[in-house]
Amino acid sequence: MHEPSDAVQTYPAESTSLLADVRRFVATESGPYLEQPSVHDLVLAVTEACANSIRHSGSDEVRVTVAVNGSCVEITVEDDGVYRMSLPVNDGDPGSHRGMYLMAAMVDDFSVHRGTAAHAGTTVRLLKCES
Amino acid sequence: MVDDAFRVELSDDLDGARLSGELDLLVYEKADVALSPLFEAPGDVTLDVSDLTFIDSSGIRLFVRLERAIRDRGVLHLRGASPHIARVFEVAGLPDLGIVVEGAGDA
Repeated sequence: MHEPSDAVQTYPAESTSLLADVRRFVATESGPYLEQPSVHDLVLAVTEACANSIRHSGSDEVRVTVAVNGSCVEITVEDDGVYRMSLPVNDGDPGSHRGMYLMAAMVDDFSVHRGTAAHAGTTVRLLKCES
Repeated sequence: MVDDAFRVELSDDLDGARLSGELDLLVYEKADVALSPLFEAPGDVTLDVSDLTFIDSSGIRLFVRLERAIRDRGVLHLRGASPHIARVFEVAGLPDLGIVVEGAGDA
């Protein structure tokens, strides 16, 4: 459930500047609460989550919410589609796995509530805390 | 206002390039095309990334492909990485592939 004080932006999935726009939004909103290295990490994680929306979800929009809770920033990336988690295949270049791995490595906690064909709508939550 | 648009400047000898701005999924194709001459380099390739302010898994993939392409002939060097970018290279395992990461503070 989003609080009224959360910052929210909605982007068309087709936007050619979507990833850059999201980075700027997240950096601006989280900047007051996290050290710069942590902001960089969070911005990368959000980019990977949004990239997955663009590539795999079939959604028209991507919604990004920034919420602050104490010393933690929680980012929610929502789309109306399906999050495709492909199994590792030896095709010599597991690109999407690298993205998922990087996303996980950059944050303190994350969750993926996956949409399916029957129930579309994927939500990725990313948590980054300043120790 | 800092211009974060991604840019590639190839070296005259086509043995390297200077990358600047933000390298992500949405500029991957542009980056691939711009760096394509380097895939044919006869020896080491050096990418100056001191003005690279952002890289995601797509950009990492491009570097992995480049290393693979020149592996029999030379080594891929990534020079001048900022602390954050260098950390992303480490986390992504690039040194394990034989890619030489030289940070901004290195000689």
